[in-house]
Amino acid sequence: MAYKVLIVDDSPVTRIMIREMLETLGHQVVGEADSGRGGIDAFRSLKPDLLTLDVSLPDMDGLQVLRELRLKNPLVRVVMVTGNDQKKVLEQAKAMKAGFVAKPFSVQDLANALALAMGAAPPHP
Amino acid sequence: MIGPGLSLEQKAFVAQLIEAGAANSAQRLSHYTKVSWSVASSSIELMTIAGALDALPVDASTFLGVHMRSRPPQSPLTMESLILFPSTATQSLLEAAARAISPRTAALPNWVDAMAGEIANVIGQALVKAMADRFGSSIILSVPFVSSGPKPLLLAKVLDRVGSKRETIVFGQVELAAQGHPASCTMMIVFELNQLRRFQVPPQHPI
Repeated sequence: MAYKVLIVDDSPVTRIMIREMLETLGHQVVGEADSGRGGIDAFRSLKPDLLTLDVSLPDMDGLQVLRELRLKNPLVRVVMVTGNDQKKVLEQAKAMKAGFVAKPFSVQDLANALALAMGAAPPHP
Repeated sequence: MIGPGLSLEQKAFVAQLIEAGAANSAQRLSHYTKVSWSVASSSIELMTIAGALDALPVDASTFLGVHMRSRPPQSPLTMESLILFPSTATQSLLEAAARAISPRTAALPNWVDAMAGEIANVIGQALVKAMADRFGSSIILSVPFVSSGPKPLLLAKVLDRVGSKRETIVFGQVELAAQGHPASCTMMIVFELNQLRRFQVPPQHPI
């Protein structure tokens, strides 16, 4: 199944990497944002099925973005894509039922996290 | 006590955490650049800001410097980190890393800065992970700020944010070496002394 995905990440390199992986998997990237506030605004206007979200953003951290989104959209689906794989960050993401992919990652890692976040069984490689 | 404020045990504990983080950083750097990296040295010292600047060898060559910081309330620690790559020697590695991600990366405006920022962010996160996990906290690093210049100038800009030249800091330094390649990577991490003094060393602290 193809999902409409919004990418929220300050790094243009990571945005390219995620976009190409998502397109390889047959998903549609409906937008990109390089800040937390920009991501929240883009989510409201573009209504994607899912967001990929960085932890370190210039204006607020990704977990704050997720909390704010969940206030009005409790079912928003999110995969955190980040170099920050500290235990506490993982625990917080898990508590908020967000998927998690730590850098460096493969297309398969991303596919598995997307499938889990969308509530489907992960695809076989 | 060592210097004006950390016990021998506290200093050894922080040194051990930085060493563990450095090994993770080398592993991630190897993944991105397709060259094998290892930890050449790792140290931690208590010194004044002026002392940290004086301790740098005189070197006028140009480095790419990536600065990231952490601040409460997102993080329990006020911390500055500076990751340095020699500009000329690192260019080919950044090109290889960019090509491996996507040919579109090389078309980005300031792609060298973008790649340096991306890689420094990933290895910087690896460096602080052991510390964050051990302290039971999350250390959220800022987005990377990339600039270029001689080492002392780049470090001085970062230390200006910490305090006056007489202030004592905890200064960690890690050197990563690339196998069969002239590139190098210096990772510097600076804490205000009071920030680390608060942390208790567990009786047994294997990393």
